[in-house]
This record gives sequence, structure tokens and C-alpha cells, in this order.
Amino acid sequence: MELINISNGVKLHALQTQKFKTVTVCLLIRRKLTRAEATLNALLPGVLRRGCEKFNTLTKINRELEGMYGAVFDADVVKKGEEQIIQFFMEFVNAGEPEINGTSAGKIPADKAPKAEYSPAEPPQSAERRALSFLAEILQNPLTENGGFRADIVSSEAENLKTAIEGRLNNKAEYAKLKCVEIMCENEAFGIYGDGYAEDLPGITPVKLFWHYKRVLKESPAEFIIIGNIDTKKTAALIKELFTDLAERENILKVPKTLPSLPREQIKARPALPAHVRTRPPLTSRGHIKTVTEEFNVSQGKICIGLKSGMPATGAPFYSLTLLNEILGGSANSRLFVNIREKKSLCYSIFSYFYRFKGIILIHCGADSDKLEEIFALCEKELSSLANKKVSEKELSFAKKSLAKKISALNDSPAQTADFYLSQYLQNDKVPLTCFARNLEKVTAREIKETAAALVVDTVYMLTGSGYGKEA
Amino acid sequence: MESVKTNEFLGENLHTKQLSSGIKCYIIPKCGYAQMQAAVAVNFGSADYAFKLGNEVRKFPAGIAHFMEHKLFEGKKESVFEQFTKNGADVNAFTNFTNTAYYFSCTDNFANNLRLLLHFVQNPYFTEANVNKEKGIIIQEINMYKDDPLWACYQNLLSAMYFNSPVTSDIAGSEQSVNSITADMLEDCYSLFYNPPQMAVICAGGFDINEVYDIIEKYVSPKVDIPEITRCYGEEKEPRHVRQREVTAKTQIAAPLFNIGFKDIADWQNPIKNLAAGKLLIDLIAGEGSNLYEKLYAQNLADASFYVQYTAGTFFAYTMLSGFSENPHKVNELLLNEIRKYAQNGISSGDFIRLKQKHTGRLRMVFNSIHAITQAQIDFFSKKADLFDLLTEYENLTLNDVNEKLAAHLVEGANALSIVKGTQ
Repeated sequence: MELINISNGVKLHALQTQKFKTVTVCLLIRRKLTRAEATLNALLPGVLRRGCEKFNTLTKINRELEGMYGAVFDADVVKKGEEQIIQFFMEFVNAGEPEINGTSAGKIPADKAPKAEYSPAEPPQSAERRALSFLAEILQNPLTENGGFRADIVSSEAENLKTAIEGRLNNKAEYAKLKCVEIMCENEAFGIYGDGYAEDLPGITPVKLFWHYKRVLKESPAEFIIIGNIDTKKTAALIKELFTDLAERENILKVPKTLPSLPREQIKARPALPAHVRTRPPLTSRGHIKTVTEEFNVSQGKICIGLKSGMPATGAPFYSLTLLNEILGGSANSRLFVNIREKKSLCYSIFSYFYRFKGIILIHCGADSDKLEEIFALCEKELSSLANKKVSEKELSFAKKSLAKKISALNDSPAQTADFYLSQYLQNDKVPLTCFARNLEKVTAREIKETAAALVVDTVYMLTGSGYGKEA
Repeated sequence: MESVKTNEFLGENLHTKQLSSGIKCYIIPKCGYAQMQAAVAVNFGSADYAFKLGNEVRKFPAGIAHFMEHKLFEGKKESVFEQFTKNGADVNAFTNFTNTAYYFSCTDNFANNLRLLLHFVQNPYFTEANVNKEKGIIIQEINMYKDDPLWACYQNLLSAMYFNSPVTSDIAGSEQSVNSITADMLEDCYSLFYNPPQMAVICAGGFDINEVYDIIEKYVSPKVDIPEITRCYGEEKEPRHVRQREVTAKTQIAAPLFNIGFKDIADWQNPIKNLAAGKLLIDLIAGEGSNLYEKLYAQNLADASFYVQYTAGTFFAYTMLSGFSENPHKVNELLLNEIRKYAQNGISSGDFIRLKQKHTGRLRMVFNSIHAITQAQIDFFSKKADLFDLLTEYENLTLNDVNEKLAAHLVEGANALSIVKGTQ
């Protein structure tokens, strides 16, 4: 990945490769994740996606994309550590690519090359110019009226965002994980929802949102990540030429690096929980665990266990946590999967997830509501076994192999490559992907044991069917 | 005999060969990728629980194909997951209406992993104890889907559209049907369906193609006395009209969710041409670039979750539109109006050319991903076709084909509306 400074606060991270049929473009506008701004930022991509001066209807936007061999375009917000990133994504077919080592990235015969059907007056342009111009239009020339965004668009997108926020519960597993993070990090920025809050929406006017957008454009660091068969110098020049609103900016906002989650003892005031949420006595005698249960009309209960390590997102602790997570619940050969699913037949889905930036591991499992307590006890048993007894060399080497495979496969996907690179960049971690497997290889069984011993069960969130979860 | 297809637009080659056992191989070489993937697809899906063996009608409990998929992972000594992990590979499987597929992905040891895959798919180990043990796991899987409103909406749509098609049974079966499955039934079903002529190996990645053929030839032995099975999906008796025009369910959901379906007939002569026409048609009428899409957005009747698709199996096909909306009936009404307008005026050639370009481009994008290639080809195997055929059909498709598809498929009476709305 090549890093090119375009202008103050604008960087191009470019990877020239002939491997893919497409060029992938991510434009990331970075904001600090705050409660005050979360909903404003979350609403912006929806509004911008609705139209710009040149393509002022959805039909025009989508027909422009369709005419580029079905180019993919999306805009949304991504929560990455304690950053809320407004992300624009594009993937388009690059016409006329050359042959490479016996395989070909695919050629488009001249008579089939994409044509701008809806702007025949314009001179022919390269696919890259056409795609980046489209993106620049969307970002810089939104539809406005009376000093704000177009009111009908804002109200319609506010409605859509409200539906999405209220629809979090449609996916119970994801909902349980989100709730667990919210409760676990209630006094940290990481506990804030990246897609915002429904209660903020009525207070957002088209003018207020437009001024926020202006500020975002003026002061936010912007990163272009571009992967594909491009000429990086030409791409840099093209960005400079097209994204004029991002040129010659002063006072670029500094977005602080995300730090690991604090152990609960250090957290002070805790806000009152909503009425339908009941806090219950701890599942075990360990009084510092926060337990929250919500009841819904469901067939299957969910349990989500939040673990804090307090460890940083780089260096030896990071590698050791990565491996520990793999062994605990990262695959179908993990401790949780084998012992709780395969041996006890208690569940279908049980996995653990590592949140690198916060040093957090979440265990998630779906099972009968009356079995959740038992699942929790079994998870604790696996955790204490990892903390008290070194994993065998065999188990460790399997986990290393499995991770090595996942790491080398990252390069096969432009989106995953971009995401990995972004994580490294945001954490200021200079270790290249090629060294990852080697660093993981160095982790010892003793380090895994010590890392497991440092994990603290912080939060237990349970979603149960009605009538379950009665206080013990 | 090996046949090799080359396509300049896709920039790829596809090798196909049928080996002496009758198993079919589809190989798509990809240079420069770390990942390699191989799948064994078996033409045995959830819809195959009832069939004719000679003149005898046989019926197994619903969900038996999916149960089999779970159980083949049971090794005699160690689990299949563990064996692949040792080799640094991931392994997984899925069951749909027509197929069961088992696949792994790895970055080295491809030959060993391929042997392992062929071995575990051909060496079932069913005991009463391990079959009973699996029931709890599968029932949890069924319960997980029960709580998913999107799944419920889709299941309800299928049940509303079809009178007697097996697509109306859940792929995993019900708690009751799963509980009634025994080791003997699995044994029985396995010997009836897991036969090389009903199977394919699909590989994508950078490896020695001849070595792959050699391994498959060596590890898949021909079977004698392959039973003659007639599949009974009842598609010839399925009426043109739907069973029920509308179905509504209530659950914990914020905004109402809808699926609109149009049941298609399944007696097409060229299934891949039909697929290309079906996909293009609904995208043209209601896809992102359509006037209807703009209208739905402007009236707050659709959001980014709205999508359209055309799905065709071997014995069923339908067009489906899905999304969240406060007023699904209005969406339905606007859609029907739009279809009537197109039926009267025909489709414009500008729209047709643009959509053709989109769909060929999107097909080309599939070849960015080893996983996407393998998964797509699994689906084409049961249609006795390959991914390249779809491109050919897109290229050969005429405006007239799509207009004909419109007149034959999107007709009054063939449509149903499924709504899932909140309990409040």
C-alpha cells in the first residue's frame, strides 16, 4: 500500500494490483464518535446518496452506475473503535485491462466499453475518471434549498434511519451484541451507537444538518483507499483535481486514537437504565459483573458475555488476544463450539468476537431461554480452564495455522484489504500484513494462559422469552 | 473428455470433465490468489424428502437432507472440523431446496484437503447416539430462524404462492420431523442420493488441474446398482395462480416488512435463458434505476433495504420484491400499475441495453472472489449448466425475449403479498 499526501488532511492509500476485475474506492471521512454528533453523522450518508446537482434523482444516479457495467456505490457510517466514519464505497469495472501472467483481468472489447448513455454530449472519459467524478459530485454538490439540504429528502431519510434504528431487534444476535457493548462501555465513546439515536431525529432540521455537513467537509481528515489496476500518480492527480472542497483546508480535526476499554472498577457514575430493562443479581458470586436481561416474545434466548482485557490493540498483547479468541470461540473447532455445542447439544450458534481497538472479547450464544444460565457457567468453565492450564502445543499450532490462512486470504478481497489496512493505520501500527503470521507464530502457550487470566467478565446481557429471566 | 471454455469478457477459463464414476468436475483456475476452494455438491436438497423409487413412493421426514449435512461432519475418531483445522483449512456446508454442498477453503495443502473432503462426504458414520445428539443442535437452528422476521416473511410468501410444492417446507424441517429422524433413515437416504452421477466437484484457485482430476478419479469410485429415482415436486400440477393472495403475520418488529412474489411456471426449455430474462425483467421494472423505485422512495414507501430478485431452481421459479414499508399495500398497488404500463407499452431499448450491461458487469464481478465463484457454480450445477452459460444468455438476450417474459410471467393472479408487522 502506497501512502500519498494529497493535501492537508487528505491522504491516498493506494494499492496497484492487476488481480481484480474491478477498482475499489473507499472514501472515509473521519469523525470522533460522540453522543452529540452520532445521529447527525449517521443521517448524512442517506441524504447525500439521494442526489446531487448533476444526478438529481435516484434514477439518474442509479442509471449512471448501471451504465458503468453495474458499478457498485454505497454510503454509510462505520464505527471503528471510537471513530464514526462516513464511508463512501465504489467498485467499478476498469475497462481495457492488460493481460497478466497467463490469466487475464478481463478485457472489454471496444464495442462493449461502457458509454455514458445519459450524457452523450460529454467527451469519452476513463472509467476511473467517471467513477471519481461521480463520487466527487455526490460529496460536494448535494441538493439544497433555503440554506439547507432539500427538506423532503431530509425528512424521508430521517424516517428511514428511524426504521433502521428501531429495526436493530430484527436480528436478535446482532442486537444482543450491540446491547452488550452499550452496557459494557456505557461511559466510554465505544458504547455510543454508530447509527445514531431515534430520539435525536426530530431535532435535526435541513439547515442544521447542512451546516454540520459543511463543518464535516471543512475539518475532517479524509482517507481515500483505492485498490485495483490504477496508476497511483494519475489517481492522486485526479483526486486533487476533482475533490476541490477538500483542498487547501486549514485546522484539520485531530481524531484521537482509540484506547482499550477500562476495567469496571474505574468507571464511576452509571446512568439509570430504561424501565423495561431489569438489572438482576449477578449470575455468580462475582459481584462486579453487570447483568441485564430483556424479555421479548422469542423462541430462542440469547446470551452475550462481555470480557475486558484492558490490553492495547498493537504489539504482543494484540497477537496473544487474537490467538486466545481463536482458541476460545473463533471457529468450529474452538473450545466453546466443541464443548458446548458438539458435546452438550445446547446450541447451534456459539462464537466469540474480538474487538481489537478496545481489547474486548464478546461471547455470543443462542439457546433455550432456560439454558442461558447453564451456558454462562460452561463459558466461565472454559475461560477458567484457559486461564489455569496451558493450551497444548497441538491446539496452539492449529489455531496459528487457522489464523495464518485467514490472514493470507485477506489479500484476495479488496474490501478486507482496505479494512485491515485502515485498522493498522488508525492504530498507527506499522506492521505489514506479511509479518502478521510470523508475529502470531511467536506467541507461546504461557502467554495465552496469562492473557486468559487477565480477561475479566464485565457484562452479561441476556435476551429471553417472556416469563424467563425471573429473578433467582 | 475435458472441455475448456474461454471467455474474453470475463477473462477466465472454465474446465469441465465427467470422470469414470460419473461425477462431474468444474474447475476455474485463478492465478495470483492465496485462497483455494473446493466443493462437493450433491443433487439432494430439502425438497427431495418424497420421491419415487421405481414404482414405489418413498417419504422421509422433512429436513432429512439438512440433517444429513450436519451428520456427515461426524468422524469416527475425530470430528471433520478438527481434521481440516489440522490442515489449516476452513470447512462448511449448506443445504437448500435442491442441493447439499460441502466445501473447504485453504491457502496450502489443497490436494490433501481435497482428499479429506472426498473422504468425509463418502464415509458417513451414523449411530443412534450421534443422531440423537444432533437433534438438540438442529432444533436450536430452527428456533433461531423462527425469531428472524425476514425468514418468516419469506416462508409465508412461499406458502402463499404454492399449493403443493416442497419449497413450502422449511429446509431444516420442524421440531417434530427432526425428532423422528433415525440413523437407519439417514443410511437409507444416503445410499439413494449420494451417488457420483448426482454429484459434482467444483474448484477455484491456483492448483494443478490434472492432479485435481487424478485425485477425484482415485477417491470417487463408481457405484453399481444406482437406484432409479424419480423426483416428485408436483410442479406439473402446480396451478398458475397462487394459493393465497395475501398473508400477514405479527411479531416483534418496528416497521412492517413485505415480500411480494410472482410465481413463475417451471417448464422452460432453456433454464439459463429464462434466468437471464427473469433477472433483467424485474430489475428493469422495479430495480434501483427504475421509475418505480424513484416513486417508492419519494413517497416514503421504500428505503435502502428494498431489493428485487428473480430466483429459479430446477422445479420452481419466482420473482420477489422485498423491503420495509409503512404501507405494503400501496407498494403492491404501484408495482401492479407499473407492470400494466410496461405490458401495454413494452420495454424501451435504452433501458434494456443499460440493464444488460449492468448484469454482465455484475457477473464479471463474481470472478473477483474464489468463494463467490464456487458458490455460484454449485447453484448452476443442479441446472446442468455453468456460470459462463449465463453470460452467453445475457449476451444473446433480445428485447423481445424480455417482453415475452413479461407477458408470460408477471400476470395477474400469479402474485402474492406477505406482510410481517409489529404486535403493537
